[in-house]
Amino acid sequence: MIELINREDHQKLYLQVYEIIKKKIESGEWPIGTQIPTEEKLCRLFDVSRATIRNAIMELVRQGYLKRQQGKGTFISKRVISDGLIMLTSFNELWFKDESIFKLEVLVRTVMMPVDGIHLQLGIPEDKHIIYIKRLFLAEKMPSILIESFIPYHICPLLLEEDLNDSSLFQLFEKKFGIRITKITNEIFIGSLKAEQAIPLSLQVGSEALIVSQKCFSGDSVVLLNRIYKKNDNHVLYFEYERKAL
Amino acid sequence: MSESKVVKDLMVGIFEYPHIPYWFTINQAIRIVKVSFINTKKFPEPLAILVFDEKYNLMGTLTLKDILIGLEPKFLKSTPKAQVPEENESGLSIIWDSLFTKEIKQLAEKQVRDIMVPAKYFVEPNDPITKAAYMMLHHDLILLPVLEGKKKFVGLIRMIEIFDAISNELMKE
Repeated sequence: MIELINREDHQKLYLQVYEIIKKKIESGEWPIGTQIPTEEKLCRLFDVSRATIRNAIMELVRQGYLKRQQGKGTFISKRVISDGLIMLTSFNELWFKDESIFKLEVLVRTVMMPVDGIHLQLGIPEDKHIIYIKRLFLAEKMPSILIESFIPYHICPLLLEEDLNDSSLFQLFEKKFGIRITKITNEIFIGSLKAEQAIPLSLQVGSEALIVSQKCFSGDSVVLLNRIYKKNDNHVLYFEYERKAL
Repeated sequence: MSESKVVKDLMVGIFEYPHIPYWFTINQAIRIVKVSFINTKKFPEPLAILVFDEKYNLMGTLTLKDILIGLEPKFLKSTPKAQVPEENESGLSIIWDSLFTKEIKQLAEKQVRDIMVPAKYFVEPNDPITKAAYMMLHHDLILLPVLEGKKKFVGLIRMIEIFDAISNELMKE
């Protein structure tokens, strides 16, 4: 029996198909080694387009649930013990052992056009509107971290109406809007600050800070780009990894 | 004119126009004009950019003319007392090269809030279009923002739609 796609759900269709197939594999309903139905059959089964099925299958292959065999088809795969590391630190924008010491101030919440190559990072045309959010985290009343967030407007237009003081963007994306974050990439480097970053952090223009450029994906789409500016203070970023089976 | 015609029947969506915050520079605004209008060959009437504050409240509008005036070097700005005979203006062509100087590059770093036209007049979605027409004509507006509950920016009234609505009524048999 096939779970129905919820077309009212904001979550992308292919992610819903991905979840349904994943459940079938994990529950053993579709046993390891068996061939999955053809794309055409899956299209009919879920009443979605071929592109949606392809995206869902691609994600399942990437996650190790399926294996493609040239000329034969796509099969349920046995997921193996990963040599890599699993990040145990919470799947979030920031990584602190204790986030409770931070007080959040939302400095900016507006809509603008992407500049300085932001559209390339988000994978959208340069003439598309984006939501821009700028938040400052204070620890013991001192500015510690500044986050600039860029979101393609069409991904989440209702975000502008939400109270950003109470919920993280991740919580809103996943719990309120049903946009599941499936992958995060981080580039971490030391960079110098422009006036718009230095002033809120009470630093001189040109001061150096730790910068994290964080891309959050839902499937293949970048749904959120964060630029995190960490001042050199007593607070540290915290990462915890563990080697374990996927 | 039909009494039932109200602002919401004529207004266009705010995403027809590019949005920028007030702290963007003239340089950034020029880039947006190129990307949104010139490169895409989309020329809405009027060609304008909407300028917002930190809380996404509309602050003003910016046209190509406002941008060019913002870039005008000091020596070209007229003073109220100067009475330049029209024929002398032909001499302006010789200063084309001198326009692209250090001064103009500095001017392009000015924030757009310094050159935008502030949004002072608004209408509500259920206001009659006669009110919108009056405001646009008597305050010389290119765009008239539509606010819901005096707060939420929901649309824009343009002269072309006002003209169309009035002329349709006029030409009715």
